[in-house]
Amino acid sequence: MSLRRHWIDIAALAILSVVALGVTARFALAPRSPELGVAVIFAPWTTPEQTLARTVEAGARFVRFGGPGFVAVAIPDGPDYVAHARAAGAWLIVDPKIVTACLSVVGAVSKP
Amino acid sequence: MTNIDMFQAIVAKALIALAAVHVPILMAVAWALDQDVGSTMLTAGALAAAPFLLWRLQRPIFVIGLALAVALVGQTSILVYLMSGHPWQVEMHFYYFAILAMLSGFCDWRVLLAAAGLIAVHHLSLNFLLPSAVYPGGTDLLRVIVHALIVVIETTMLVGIGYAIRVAFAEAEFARLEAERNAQAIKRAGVEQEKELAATTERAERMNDLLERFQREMMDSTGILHHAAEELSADAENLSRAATKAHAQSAKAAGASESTALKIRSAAHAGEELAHTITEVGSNAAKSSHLANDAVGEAARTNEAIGELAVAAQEIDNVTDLITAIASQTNLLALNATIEAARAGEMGRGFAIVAQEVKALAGQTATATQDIGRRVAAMRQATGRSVEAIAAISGTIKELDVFSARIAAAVEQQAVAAREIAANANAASSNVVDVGTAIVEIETVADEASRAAGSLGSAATNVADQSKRIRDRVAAFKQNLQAIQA
Repeated sequence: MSLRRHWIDIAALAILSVVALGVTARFALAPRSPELGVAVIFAPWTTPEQTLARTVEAGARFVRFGGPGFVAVAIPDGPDYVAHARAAGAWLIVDPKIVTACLSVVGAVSKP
Repeated sequence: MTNIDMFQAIVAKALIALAAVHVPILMAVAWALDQDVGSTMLTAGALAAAPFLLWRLQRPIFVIGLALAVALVGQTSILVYLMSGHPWQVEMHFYYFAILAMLSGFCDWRVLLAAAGLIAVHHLSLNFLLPSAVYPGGTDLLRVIVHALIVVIETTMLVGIGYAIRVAFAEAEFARLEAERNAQAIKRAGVEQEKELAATTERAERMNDLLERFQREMMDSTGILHHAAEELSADAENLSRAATKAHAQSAKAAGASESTALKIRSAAHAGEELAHTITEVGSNAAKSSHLANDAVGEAARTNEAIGELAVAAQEIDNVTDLITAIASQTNLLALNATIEAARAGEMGRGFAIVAQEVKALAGQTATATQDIGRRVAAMRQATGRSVEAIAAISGTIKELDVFSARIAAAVEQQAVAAREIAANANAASSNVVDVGTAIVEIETVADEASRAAGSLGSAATNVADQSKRIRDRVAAFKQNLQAIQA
């Protein structure tokens, strides 16, 4: 079976795919206007308390949690918030307005 | 490499080039949208480099197809992500379908399935997971399902089309191979036909040459055959004559052999008789020697008896001497008595007469005794002569014995020689009989040779006739052949 024989290649491709997706999300979904609000996504094992504490400590006003407890929507105090939040352990800081993408759930975005 | 392989290689090269072209386009999009150009370049470049690298590493085409699926879907995702929030973002999604369509060029369900899966993951993460993470309950699962359904339909169709293309390629390949095989077969058949034609022409020429050579050789051979048959016929006659002569000579030899055999047989018989006689002579000589020994023993015993006789004669001599002495004393006593009687006178006269008578008897006794002595002496002389004669006879008999032994030895040698003569004569007789048998066989062979010579003569005549007929036939055949060739 050729799939088994080339499992190293296939595993490398899978890693490349996941890494590329992560990196893309990291730079392409970065907040266009952080002052209007950002969505901060921590590691899945982060507790809501930790999420809240880290979001606020990085320099933002907490607005609400996202779906799971490791996602928070916040309004940054300053323009360096993205860097601070990443330093605080956030995996992704995305623009809440654009994550709806083609689903056009834009109504929720206008209400930070 | 088959046609499908070539087609896949073309598709792979084209898509590798497309992935490379995507990099500057994505960079331009990022620049235009005021996004991170550097990260875009690195990510899109890394994705484009993967299939190129695998191509250079000569990985199988489906692995390159998988790498292209990762690269193109990833790059499309970059485009879609970069266009997030832009009004044209929805249009950018259509590029996923274009990518799927392009990847279907591999005609490999694994590549299409991988691409569809990646699209689903990327799409879901951007359009479902992230929004649902940020806006709980705000996502529209139905729309996601509709999108997924469209992707599944397209993928299924593309897999089906890919399979159909693959089958078509396989059939085309099979047809091409079949056509090539047929073409090769036709070519081979053509070549073989040409060879066959050339071989036929060559065979015909060779046949013609062979025919001419055959005719020449046949004419020569039949000429030689005819000549040989004539010589054979002459030889057969000679042989017949020689056989007849051999027959006559062998008959003579057989007669001579028979008479020789008879003579040798009689010589053998005589030899046997001679040996027998000599054996008898030898036996008699041995007997004679034995008798001579007996005679010598007898002579010795006679000698002893004569010796005893001599002793007895000596004893008689002694007795006669004693008698002579007694007679002498008796005579003296008679004389004395006579004297005494004389002295007694008349009274003594009768006594004197008796004395006279005694004296006379004494005288007679002395005379008889002397006679006995003489006779005994004569007897002793005769005994001595007898002893000498017996000794002489005994010596003669011993010499006779020696001669007899020599005769016996000579006779034994003669007997051996005679037996050898007889044996040789018998062997010669047997040989002569063999010679006779051989002569009879020679005679038989000579008869057979004579008959064979007769057969040979007739066969030679037939051979001569046949060789003439063959020559005639060959000439006629050649004429016919020339007529056909003309």
